[in-house]
Amino acid sequence: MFVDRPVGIDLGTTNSEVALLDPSERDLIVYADRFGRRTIPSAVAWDPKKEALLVGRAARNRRGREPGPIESIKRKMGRDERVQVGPHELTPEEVSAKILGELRDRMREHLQERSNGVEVRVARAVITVPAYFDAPQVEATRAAGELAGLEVLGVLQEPTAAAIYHTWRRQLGDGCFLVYDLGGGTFDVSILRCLAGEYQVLAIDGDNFLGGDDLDRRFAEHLRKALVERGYTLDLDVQSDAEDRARFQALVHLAQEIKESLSTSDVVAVNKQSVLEDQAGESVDYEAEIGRAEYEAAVGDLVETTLESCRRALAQSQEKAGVSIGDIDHVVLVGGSTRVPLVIRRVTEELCAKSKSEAPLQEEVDTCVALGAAVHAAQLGGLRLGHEGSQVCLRTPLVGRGDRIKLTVDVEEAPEGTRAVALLAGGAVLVEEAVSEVPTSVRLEAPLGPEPENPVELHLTGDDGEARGALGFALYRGDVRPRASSLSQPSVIAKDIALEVMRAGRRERRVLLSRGTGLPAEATHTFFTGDRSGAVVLRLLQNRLPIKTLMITIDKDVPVGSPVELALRCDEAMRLEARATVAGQELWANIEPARQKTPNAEEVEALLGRAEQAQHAVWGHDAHYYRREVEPLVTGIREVLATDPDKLSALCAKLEQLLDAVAGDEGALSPPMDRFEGVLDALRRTVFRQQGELLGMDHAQWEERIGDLMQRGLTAWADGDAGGWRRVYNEAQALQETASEQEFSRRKLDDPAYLTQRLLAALAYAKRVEHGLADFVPSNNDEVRALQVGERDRLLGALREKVTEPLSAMGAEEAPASTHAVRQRLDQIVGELDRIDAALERLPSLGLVTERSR
Amino acid sequence: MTWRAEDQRLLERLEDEALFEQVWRALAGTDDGAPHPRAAGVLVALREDAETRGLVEAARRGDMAGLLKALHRPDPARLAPRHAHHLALLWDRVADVLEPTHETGSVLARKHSLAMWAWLAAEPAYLEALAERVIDGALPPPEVGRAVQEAPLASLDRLGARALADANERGDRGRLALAALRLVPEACDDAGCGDELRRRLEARSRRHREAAVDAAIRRVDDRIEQSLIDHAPVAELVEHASEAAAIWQWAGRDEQVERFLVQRLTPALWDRYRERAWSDVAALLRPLQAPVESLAIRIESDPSKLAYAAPCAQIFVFMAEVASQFERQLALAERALLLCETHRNGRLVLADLLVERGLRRLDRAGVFGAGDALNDAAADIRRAESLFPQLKRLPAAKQRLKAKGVDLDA
Amino acid sequence: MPEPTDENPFERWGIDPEQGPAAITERMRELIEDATDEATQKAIRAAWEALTLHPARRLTAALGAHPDSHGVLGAAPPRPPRRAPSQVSLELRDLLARPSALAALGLEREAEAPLPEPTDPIVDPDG
Repeated sequence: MFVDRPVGIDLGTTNSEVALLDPSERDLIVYADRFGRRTIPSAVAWDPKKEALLVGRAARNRRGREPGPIESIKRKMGRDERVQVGPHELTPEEVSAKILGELRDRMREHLQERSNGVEVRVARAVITVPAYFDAPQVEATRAAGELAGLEVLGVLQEPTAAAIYHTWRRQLGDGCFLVYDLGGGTFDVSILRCLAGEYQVLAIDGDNFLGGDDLDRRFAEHLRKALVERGYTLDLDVQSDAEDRARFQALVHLAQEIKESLSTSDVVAVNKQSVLEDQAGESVDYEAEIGRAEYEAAVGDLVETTLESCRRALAQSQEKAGVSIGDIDHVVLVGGSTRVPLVIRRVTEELCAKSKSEAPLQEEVDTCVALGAAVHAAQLGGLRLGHEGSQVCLRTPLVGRGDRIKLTVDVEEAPEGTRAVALLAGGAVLVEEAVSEVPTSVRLEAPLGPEPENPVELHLTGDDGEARGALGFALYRGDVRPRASSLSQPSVIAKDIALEVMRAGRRERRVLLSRGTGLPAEATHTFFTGDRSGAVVLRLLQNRLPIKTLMITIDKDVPVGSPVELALRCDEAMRLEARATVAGQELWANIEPARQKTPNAEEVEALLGRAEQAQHAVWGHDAHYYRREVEPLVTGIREVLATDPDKLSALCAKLEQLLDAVAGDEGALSPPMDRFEGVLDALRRTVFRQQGELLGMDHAQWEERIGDLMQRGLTAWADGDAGGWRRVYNEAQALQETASEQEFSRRKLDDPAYLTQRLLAALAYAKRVEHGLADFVPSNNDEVRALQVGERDRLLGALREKVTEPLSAMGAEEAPASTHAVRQRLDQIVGELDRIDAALERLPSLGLVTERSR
Repeated sequence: MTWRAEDQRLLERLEDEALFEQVWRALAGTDDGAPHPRAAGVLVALREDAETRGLVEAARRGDMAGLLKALHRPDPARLAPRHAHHLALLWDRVADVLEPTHETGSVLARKHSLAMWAWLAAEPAYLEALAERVIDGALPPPEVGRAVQEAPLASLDRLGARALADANERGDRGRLALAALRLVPEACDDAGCGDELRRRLEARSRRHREAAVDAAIRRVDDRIEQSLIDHAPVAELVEHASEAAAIWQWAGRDEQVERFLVQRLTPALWDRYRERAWSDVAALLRPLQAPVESLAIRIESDPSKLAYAAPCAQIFVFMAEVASQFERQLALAERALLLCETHRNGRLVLADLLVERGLRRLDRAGVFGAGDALNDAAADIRRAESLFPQLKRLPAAKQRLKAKGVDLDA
Repeated sequence: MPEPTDENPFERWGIDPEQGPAAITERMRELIEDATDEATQKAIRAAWEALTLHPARRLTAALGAHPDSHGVLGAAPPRPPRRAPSQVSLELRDLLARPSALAALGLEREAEAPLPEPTDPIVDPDG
């Protein structure tokens, strides 16, 4: 017989852990080696002698040797690159899969020793991820689990796992938690509420590229400068020089040692010989006394960054649930880096002091994530038992306090002829339930014996009442710890999943699955085709970053406004699927976000240059967005240019996408503000030229009227109210038309001077449209680009044929036709030009769907 | 066994619930969709008020008329807040249930509900006390206050959401929601609302109607845009214009749709006009007729709406140009100028038509020599000159008039 | 766009609007554990969120529910001392609890009227 209880795995940047909730629910079992060490280093290395892969401690022990270990692979998750491990080139998820495989094997051995001969399987897992991980990173993590041969039951955010552990451990039924999770490579903050044992995730924030490693790198850089001052040659280029990278890594290890010593004492005397060899080939010794203050001065701003994240998370929870810092009952510290005294002090000052929690909770900082994940894994996966053609999964807890216990049993496999499920104790049937098909789910309610542990057997019986399969397990009497029911959905979507849509001529983001939505989640939305381009372009975004573009080619005859149904589904393992249906065609896509590429030095420079230019170009709403999103990235890139290639490429990829979003003119209302101002100006001039009253209103009344329009326009603009903006704009235009009629009615339209003036204006207009077409930057998605370029070329052709050529011909005519005929032709050409201009305006949004109801 | 106060309360509750079943049937015409049993609380205030107690007793005996009247027309001066709260919710439910079968009744029921919410908004103490009991300190007082202030507007928001959700399909629920939103001023009258509250309710109602209409015309807007860019056959535009006219009906002949139609289709009309495709112009004008007429009436009766005077007048000019009868042409051109007296094309077309009539009159004057006809012709040409002095046909017309002995330049 | 759901969550799930989030959660958990189809579970989860996540939403939902105009039901009637079945002798007045009904028949109640031996499981929770 085998038992299979799903485990919880914390796949960390520096260390990883694995744990399991015992079916008695009295104990959480965390894997420990024979020295009692409960973590396994997240390191993989190649042993050239044995020609074998090493994982964990053995791999880390190769630090300083050639080839050295691969560490902090979590920072590369979701990136399109490979690392060299001996003769193998592995992707980040392959490296992670080795670590996960090691955890699974160690855990299985560990459990097998305690299992009294029953086969233990470790086949299912909940894997944790930083709450603020991006979709490609989550995707890579789940893929790693699957590569390791695990069934990934769920992906759970690390802070949530920590909160689940603390509520389980302390039997807390109610309370609000702020979980501050500073791991090796990532920082997360989550705010959770536990309500009668159920969880609500109220806020998530963090930084995927800020962790203990960053503190170390920052201090390593501080040490490097100190060594340069002492005359060593250490002008390092970590981005392109492997030796320099190794030199810096040696400094990072020294920084780590100093950090650890400073956790327990205020001053540390360092005396290290031959830390590394400098670029001149000289052996570097380091001897100094370092005080905590010096260390803290070097890394203090990084810690402040984490507190800023906490404040953002609190603002979110305030909005979502009315929970502010004063409502927080427990501030929980998670992750090895929270041992840094500065972190504890600042968290106590900034968070605990304002909350109901006097001091932060700091239990099991290294393992609480795996432990919490184990509790959640038990909830999701129950206990699977199997033996020779019989397999069942016990879904509900096997612990009870009363006289009876309710069990949900999934019969997954049963021998031929199975007709019923029976629960027996000491040979006596406690309860029996008929089974008509397999697989199926049955509910049993049985008396619970008086002993702490009551052995029972589950029989799969046939018509004859004979057991065809028998599976033994135990029911336990004991306290039922708070454990969430299916009411809770502790895994949540961390960042909005949105679609780019058109609304009232404006490109907008329509959130399809909003952050904080519990998993599994699904949403179906109906949009509409907005043009007859022959394509539907569905650009999915995570927050503002594009994660996938789906393009569906449709018949050009499909009328504008035809419904486009988009169904999105995100399961517990954060696997995202989209199904789009339009005009009888269906497109199904598993959304595997594009992997991010690593930029070179020139690309980084070019990118920073672009960021600077963009800063001057944005204003209004975008400027606010720019300050909040883009500027920290630019600062971050400058900071890590010389120290951290992984983080550099991640930040660059993010910046590039954000700049694309800003350049995409997203958020601009249509028509633009200057056109509205132009209409109002023209109106003012018209009124000014009138002597006395115009249309029954004097100048003061007109001023009031125009002021009112201006005010309404500004309000709609400031609110981003696309519909309202168009209404006011149209009204202004109509009013200008009405007001100018008086002047217009006196004008001689066929006057040659006037016609010349109009011809020149038309030429200028054509020039402007031509420039607009020439300057148009097509999308970087291949399919969409082809669509846009095709349309642009068509428009350029139409412009030439129907506008510029006829206009030049008119200008060159020696014996013009009658002025009346000239006017008619001009009118006709300007009509064409209007059409081309309107088509140009739609070029960037070609194929995008439109949304109405919101 | 003693008969306790709570036993009496239980008995009353059961009796009220039994009677309420009948009340519901009378209001909704069905047993379906009955509200939560607590809705029977609507009978408590009536039972406890000496003036209405008799109505409840009569209803128990089978005579529901008085009770139903009291539910339909509660006296604002004697209303108890809790009773108003029950009524607001009850009428909302009645409106929902009547929707598919009895539209007028549904909209009226909604109006009753809105009136009760409006009445409650003016009596915040009751809602505040209820909120305090529910919230029990979980929200800071200002937020409780805000929620209480918003509660009476929540039903407008619900109606707005319905209208919006139905906008694309122009569904009945959305149409009725818009109809109910238009009744907010009447509901305010019924509730005896103060000015400030009335402004808030009317503004919210307007916002929801605008949003729904916006959503409804968006598709037509996109379609027209595409057809204009493609310079598509007129039949396509006529189809879009007819769809817009249907939206106009759905939205209760909404002004926003009228404005939209006028502004959006004018460029297409000009295109066809320049191409001298008169039948196209006429076809495109057909679906616009009723909405444009409605907009014209609005502009004529409210000088503050003058913004759309010229665009609207231009449509009348187009109509005048393609009308098949001369008198109709004249009337339409006159209508254009009535809307916007300075309208260039209106003046031009009317002047041209006046000259035409003047000349026709002159022709008649030639046959019969009638002085009246000559005078009329002179008046027409004189008016044409005052409207559009540059009119090309004018000098010749004046010449002919002069030949008949009338010199307008003298 | 989903249809706006107009059913008040308090009324739909039979929850007293004056209960706090913890009590609401307990009730919703019972409901979801008994629910068998996914649609109902989803609806329960949505209602739970609406009623517990933000107090303002709970308040809005409470104001949209019919108030309780009949007052609390109060405790069940006190249980009389047990007697042996042979001691029971029922009269008309024992069956008429309502004072007005007794008065109409010209009857009066005894100080402490006996009840039958509660062997009925509905009357006797311990039975």
